[in-house]
Amino acid sequence: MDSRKRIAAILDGQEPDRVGFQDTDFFSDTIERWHAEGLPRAVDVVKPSLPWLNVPALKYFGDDIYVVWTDISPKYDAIDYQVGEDWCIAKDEFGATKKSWTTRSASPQYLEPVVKTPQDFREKIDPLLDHEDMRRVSSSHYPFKHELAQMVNRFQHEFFVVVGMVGPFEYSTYLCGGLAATLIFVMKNQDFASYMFSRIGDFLRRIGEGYIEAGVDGLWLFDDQGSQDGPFFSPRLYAKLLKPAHEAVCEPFRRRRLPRLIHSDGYLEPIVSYLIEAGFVALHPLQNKVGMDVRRLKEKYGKELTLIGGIDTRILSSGDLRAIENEVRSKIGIAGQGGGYIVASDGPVPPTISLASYRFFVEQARKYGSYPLKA
Amino acid sequence: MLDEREILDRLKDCIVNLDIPCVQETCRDALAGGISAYRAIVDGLSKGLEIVGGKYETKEYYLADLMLAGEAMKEGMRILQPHLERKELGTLGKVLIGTVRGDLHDLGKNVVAMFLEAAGFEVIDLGTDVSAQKFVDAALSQNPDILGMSALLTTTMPEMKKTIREIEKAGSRAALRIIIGGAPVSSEYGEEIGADAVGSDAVEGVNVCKAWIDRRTCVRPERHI
Repeated sequence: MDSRKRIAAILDGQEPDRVGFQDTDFFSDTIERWHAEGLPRAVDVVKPSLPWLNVPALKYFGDDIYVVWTDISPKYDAIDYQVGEDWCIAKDEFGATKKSWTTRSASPQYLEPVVKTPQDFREKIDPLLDHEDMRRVSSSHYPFKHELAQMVNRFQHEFFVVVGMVGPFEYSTYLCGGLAATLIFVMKNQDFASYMFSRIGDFLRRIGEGYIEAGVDGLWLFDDQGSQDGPFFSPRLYAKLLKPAHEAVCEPFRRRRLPRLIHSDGYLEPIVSYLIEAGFVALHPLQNKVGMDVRRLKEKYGKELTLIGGIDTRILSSGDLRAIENEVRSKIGIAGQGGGYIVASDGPVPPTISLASYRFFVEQARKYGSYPLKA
Repeated sequence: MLDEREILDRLKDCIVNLDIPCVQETCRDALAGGISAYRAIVDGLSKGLEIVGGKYETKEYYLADLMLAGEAMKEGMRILQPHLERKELGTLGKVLIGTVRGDLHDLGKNVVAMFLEAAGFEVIDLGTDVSAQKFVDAALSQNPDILGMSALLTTTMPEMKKTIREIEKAGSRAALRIIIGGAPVSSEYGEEIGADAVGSDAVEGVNVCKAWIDRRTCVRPERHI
């Protein structure tokens, strides 16, 4: 079975030839360590803007899914204000000014958000969420649709190809100046926030239509909804403010029976059923340190959700090969029953994991992941 | 016209209900009714924030609710602080807090700082990307009772160990209690690097700090790991 058929079967609730595999989020420090430990130089950090450079990394570890990223920003011109030894201060394509590390993978610090009031959103962002802007793939005037479809088709010879988009909440954090500022803005302006999320959700829906026309196999939305202590919003508020936007983004894919995956960090159990209602059929990355145990989730949601992730990076970091083998065997043994599981680490792969440990993890996933399951 | 008890209870409820206009109106009512700013803060607003913290621990309130409670608290403090008497500015203790070098995350740290201030601590927030040397320099110049460090990345956690070692070298360790926190930070890690406590969330962190101050007569710092 090739990757495309394998993932299609898994997401369709069928038992494939083996569990899927997907790990593309590595810290730059991790790759640097691994290069020193013998990883070929051609295998490098995934660069969304240079898709063909990512293929060696994906094939090296046997990933099954290719994520085609799309520029959904308002497309402000970026301006560099100040550059230091290992940081820079710049205005980005969302119009926000932030300080970012240049030599390591880390979240930026927002110095001046573009949206501080509802009026800011209406004046500086709303007019630019134009799906018919001919620079956007969703536009009926987008001149490069044919090339995009060709690219998708070429990747589909080796991978299951999804369009990757940041979701409406995460999008808002880029506008409002990070998580804390966005939560405060939303809570103080709940009626407007509902409009803002829906506006962004509708914009993303129309972008998604363009990628469906180009032939993608599904959607992968990246929209963190929680932290270690639980979802950012109560289930009631999620249902009121964000769920309609998620439903909108999923709708064109759902209508065409194309799978909808969502990435969200954090402890999410209070809202998992709401995410399923919104239209998602797969959940990633299932962080162990916050209690998202893939085995428990399989029992509770296995009929409705494909589970992606759940391999504890703390165990991979230990270097204890027996512990790594037990981790992979026990997770696949339960989460892989009847299909519905794609193996991945439960978060960005940190530099505390040696190349040898990671290779061993991949080998164990192959060893225990073929059907019928040996685990 | 509400009496003093009713106004203080209303202040508490305004915070619990996450109602900023209510906080603003009731703070003004408190001052107009002759209630001291200090009592309004300690017996009104702070009591409300304590209840919010409890609701967060029991998962009745979520992070967004906590942030709004913080904003409500800030708004009340903005109105009441100018009316505090100088002699009322004494504190439970002094806490130095920061996110370690290489890390720009500050959400957890800011929530902890908010609750510490509401509980009566003086908080010196060093911000983010704080080097070990900067923590040491601040510890030497500010003489805090407690040092709090936050890290959200496994790659920046080692800075916590480095900071503790530098504080030991500077001879300040014995006088200081150290609490660490952040998503990747475990009890085992805290034990390994010699921290006195690990806060699994902001509310627990504040409770540990309050417990330390309550037991200030202890000869050796108690460990909460």
